[in-house]
Amino acid sequence: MFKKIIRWQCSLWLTISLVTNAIIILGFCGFGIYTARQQAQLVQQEIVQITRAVTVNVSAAITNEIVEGRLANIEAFLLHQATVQHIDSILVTNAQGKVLSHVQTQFDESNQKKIVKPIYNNPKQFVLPNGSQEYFTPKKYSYSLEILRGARIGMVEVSGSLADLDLIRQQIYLDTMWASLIAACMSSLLIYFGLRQITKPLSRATDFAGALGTQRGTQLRIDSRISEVKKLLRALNDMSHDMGQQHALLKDSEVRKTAILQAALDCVITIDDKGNIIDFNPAAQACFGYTLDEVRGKEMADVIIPEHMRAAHRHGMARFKSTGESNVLGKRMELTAIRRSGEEFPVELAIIAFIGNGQRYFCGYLRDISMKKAMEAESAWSAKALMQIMREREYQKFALDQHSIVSICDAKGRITYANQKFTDISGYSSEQLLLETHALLKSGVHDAYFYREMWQTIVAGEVWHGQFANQRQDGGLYWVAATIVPWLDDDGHPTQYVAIQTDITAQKTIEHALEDSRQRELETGYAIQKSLLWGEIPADLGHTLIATYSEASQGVDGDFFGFTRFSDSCFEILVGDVMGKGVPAAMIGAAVKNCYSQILVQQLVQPTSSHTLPSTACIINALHQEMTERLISLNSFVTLALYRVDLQQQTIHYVNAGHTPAMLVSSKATPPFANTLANNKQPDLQTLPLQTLTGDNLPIGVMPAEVYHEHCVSFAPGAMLLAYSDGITETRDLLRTEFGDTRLAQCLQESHQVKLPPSQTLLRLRRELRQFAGNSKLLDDQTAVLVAFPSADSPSSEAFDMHWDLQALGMLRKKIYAFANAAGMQEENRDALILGCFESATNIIRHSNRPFADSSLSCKIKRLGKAIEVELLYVGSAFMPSTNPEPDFSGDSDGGFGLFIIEQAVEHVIYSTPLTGVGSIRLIQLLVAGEKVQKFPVCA
Amino acid sequence: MNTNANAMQIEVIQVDPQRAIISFKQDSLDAGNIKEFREQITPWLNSSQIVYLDMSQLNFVDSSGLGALLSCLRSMNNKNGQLRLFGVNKPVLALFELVRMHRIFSIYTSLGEAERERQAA
Repeated sequence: MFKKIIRWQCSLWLTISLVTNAIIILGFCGFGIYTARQQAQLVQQEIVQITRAVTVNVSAAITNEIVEGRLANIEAFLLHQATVQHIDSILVTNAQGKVLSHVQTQFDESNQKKIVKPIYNNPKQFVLPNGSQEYFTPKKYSYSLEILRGARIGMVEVSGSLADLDLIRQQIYLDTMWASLIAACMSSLLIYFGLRQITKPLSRATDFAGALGTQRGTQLRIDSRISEVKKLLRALNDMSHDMGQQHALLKDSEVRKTAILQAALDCVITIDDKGNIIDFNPAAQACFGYTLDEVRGKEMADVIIPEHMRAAHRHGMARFKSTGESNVLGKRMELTAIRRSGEEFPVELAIIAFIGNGQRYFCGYLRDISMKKAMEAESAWSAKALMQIMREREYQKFALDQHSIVSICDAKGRITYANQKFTDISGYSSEQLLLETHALLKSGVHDAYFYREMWQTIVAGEVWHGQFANQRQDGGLYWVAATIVPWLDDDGHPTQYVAIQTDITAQKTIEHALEDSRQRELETGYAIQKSLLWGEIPADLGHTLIATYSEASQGVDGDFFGFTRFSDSCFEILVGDVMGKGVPAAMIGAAVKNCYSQILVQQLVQPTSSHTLPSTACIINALHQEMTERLISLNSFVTLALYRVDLQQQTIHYVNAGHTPAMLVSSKATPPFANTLANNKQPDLQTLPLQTLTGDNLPIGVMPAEVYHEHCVSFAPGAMLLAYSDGITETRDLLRTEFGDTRLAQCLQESHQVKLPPSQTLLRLRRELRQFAGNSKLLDDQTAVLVAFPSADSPSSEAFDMHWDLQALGMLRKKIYAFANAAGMQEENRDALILGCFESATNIIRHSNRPFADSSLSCKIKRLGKAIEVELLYVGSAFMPSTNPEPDFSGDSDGGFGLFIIEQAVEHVIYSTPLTGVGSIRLIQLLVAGEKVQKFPVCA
Repeated sequence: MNTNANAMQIEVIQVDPQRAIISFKQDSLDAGNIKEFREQITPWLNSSQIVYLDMSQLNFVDSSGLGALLSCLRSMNNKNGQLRLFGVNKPVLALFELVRMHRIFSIYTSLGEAERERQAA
């Protein structure tokens, strides 16, 4: 680049500089020569003028012939002339040529000045010239002139030194040379700096021009002040811009062309007019198995045309060359090509000819149609196979129609097709069914949820299987086992539904008959259980309260219990659990219970009984003798326990034959016997004393040699005895954890602590079991018998249970009426108490959510000094009125009086929740109006 | 005391097309039997202009029973009819007085008094 600049600058600047300098130097030289010549001429003219002046002056002197005398003046004149002019010598002669005066100048070296000195007695004799004469010697210029006065009287010769003239000339030449040199330098500099305005932009323009087309988007800086250069730079910028665009277009075009060729699915092969391959795109490379480098320059015929067709190809090429005619150009044709592997295959081909750079080229577009040919062949085969399949389908449809009820519905569930079987069984014609939904056949057997679930399944694109009943046109029902298959579009949305149904009416009839039979069996079993297995709670047991409950895991179970009342103060409780479930277990339970009754009767009527009751051990041993062999033969056994309660002695004698040990909860003090909880944990202050009534005998029906022993415990007044089956403690939650003895004992103790009646205690236990089990299925039968023994205040109180039913509240009125009358309560107070209690019970039944359908409401009536307290206890959401709004006394409203009536009717009403989920309403009324109101204890 | 709600009955004596005497054959009118009472009495309330209600058999009325009686009264008032009670026992009257309904209802000691008062009016 630098060299270029130097070369370029030399060629312009140096050339201009040399030419200019040559002109300047030549001009200066000419000027110097001219000046020197002018100077020489001036010297000569000066000498001539001096000579003439001298001649004039000397002439007078000579004329007077007193030359000698006047010579001094002449000399002075001459000296003056010689001093001031470039005169070397002045010579004056007479007419004979004798020297009259001679003045000569010399240069005094010491003083560095010219001195004039006259020369006397110059003997030289001159030959006088005719007229004036001048002559030159190398060092001298002389001019002589006759002194005329009529005739020649003398001659004057003045000589000048040419050395001075040369000196001047040299000086002029030297000055001229220096001046020319300085001028040349100045001119060179001026030219250099002047040309920079051109050369620099031109240099950049040159570089720019050299890089044109390679630097897209770059522009020259236009900084020159010279308009022509500016134009040039602008032109270059425009050119660069245009070239950039053209370059980009060209490049894009090239890229597109390359991309098209690269991406082309078809083979694109370009050949020249000799048939040699120029281009061979990737599709062609993949199709034929050659790379571009392998085939470039080769004759196409040798590469892709089968050998037997090459001659024809070459012939065609030659003919086109010579005549311009072609049978293949611009046509689509099917030919055979050959791959590198030698495989020949069908291709579809189109060829075009074009001319580029003055040469003809051919471009062939070639497509491998071997797959297409194969598919055509396969398609033909498929069509044939399809025909076969359709024939088979017709047979299958015929078979299906013979067996099944087939219908097709559109996406909205409207019937678009129903086969003959469908119309036959439903009684509707095809026309009646068309565009109707299956709701037309709805039987009423299934609820809306059933149909919704079915529809949601098939709408979601899933197949639905199931059985349902349809109603015929004549109103009769028919059952079908159906499979409904949704046909889905590409997006997975059902477009129609095909239902294939099989008539299962006969099968269903049998199933229903079987189910009815089973249901009847269960009902019979339940009746057996209720009448034979669950004993009636004996009345007239004084103030002893008993509650029971039993829940079978399979409708009927083998749990049983029974009560035998011997006297007002003595009764027996038999509880048992037969191995197994269902009706067989129930029958065995009934047999055992029956056997117990027979043995009891037999032993009571024995002459040796002497009016004493047989011991519980005697009874169970006899039962064992009677039943064990039979149970063994039936592969069954029974766990049971017999508890004999003596209220006077406050003892319980019992035998436990493998049954779950009963729990005995005392009201206050720990009874003086040894048995405690199974885990031997001492009861803490928060819980009431509890003991388990364990035994050590095997179940009945296990070992014939077993001998059963009686145990005895005593109980304190107010104690509670719970006999239960293991189905209660073995109830499991979702994590398979058992409910267990501890939870049961805790439930019992809590309930007993707040003096919850047995019925409410069992309801609370059932609710806890249900909450514990969650959604778990009941695995085993649950049975419980809960006995509350009379407490110290029992004689002055009464407790009873009522059904959770408004229509059962007459009993409440009756009991309070009797108790109040017995206590001597004033009539008005009694009626008001009845009214308040009735309203309270109504509120409980209406507003509290009972946990079970067979829930009950308990009532305790007791004497409190000069008042009577009625407590309503219930398991359920507690009824706790927060406000007591003033009722509407205008008669326009039917309701809103209840709470007001309660408040007004009794002295005190106390709402409370003694335990979670247990509600209590206590109503207190004075026996006689106006008595002093005492403070009544309030339950927490 | 009969607490069987299903046995709830009223006895009606149609004096003339405008007048009816309705007697309770039940000793209580409460939450447990008002539904049957309403069903049985409504046709008579609709067909009669003057209804005499014999309360002498009733020994117990609760707030629900009171509401039912108020409903009967409004039904008669709405058609400018009359409902007149007579033979109200002490416990029932106590309730009426407790909730001040003795001011709302027309209560007479006997049917004769009720009829006389009507004719006098």
